[in-house]
Amino acid sequence: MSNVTVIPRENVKAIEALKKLKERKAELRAFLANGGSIKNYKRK
Amino acid sequence: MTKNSHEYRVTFSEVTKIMDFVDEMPVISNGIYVIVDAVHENGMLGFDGRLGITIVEIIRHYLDHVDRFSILVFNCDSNDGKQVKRHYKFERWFRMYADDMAFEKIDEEILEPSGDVYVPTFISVLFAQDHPRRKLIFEEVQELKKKFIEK
Repeated sequence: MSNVTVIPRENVKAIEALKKLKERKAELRAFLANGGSIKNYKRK
Repeated sequence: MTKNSHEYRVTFSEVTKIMDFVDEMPVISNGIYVIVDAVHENGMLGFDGRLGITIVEIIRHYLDHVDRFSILVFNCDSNDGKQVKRHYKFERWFRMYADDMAFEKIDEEILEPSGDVYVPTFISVLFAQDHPRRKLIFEEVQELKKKFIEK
């Protein structure tokens, strides 16, 4: 069973943090899909 | 490679390459972010009885042979809106195939406002039951939760 955390609409920093997480994951996936190695991946 | 010849890749990456909001957390920032990807789909990705045990065995191998005290972080993809199903599937795999692994798993469902609704994001943190920094891991997760619920 998961613990539930609700982000208030006013918490722009938290909303932005989750947005970045999704973007970074997508970037890394694209990098790997193009034959990149995780060892060479650098966060933008 | 699974029963239906789908090919999956499991990637273990430093968590800070994906989650910069843990940069300030002394313990969790040393965690490993785990990504499971279907890299070659042989038709529809339907039920495949070998997939769950294969993924769990790869994770077990990592903990047994790379670092037993790794802090593994998982986050179900939400791009297609199927994160709830993925989270429960992941839960089921761990219940079925990993009950002998002596680990603890913290599961957090974060509800993020999006227009008029709230969209769930699932984040799980997995670590050994006897992890030397167990208490700090729980404290840092609580600290992160506090930051998320601030107004």
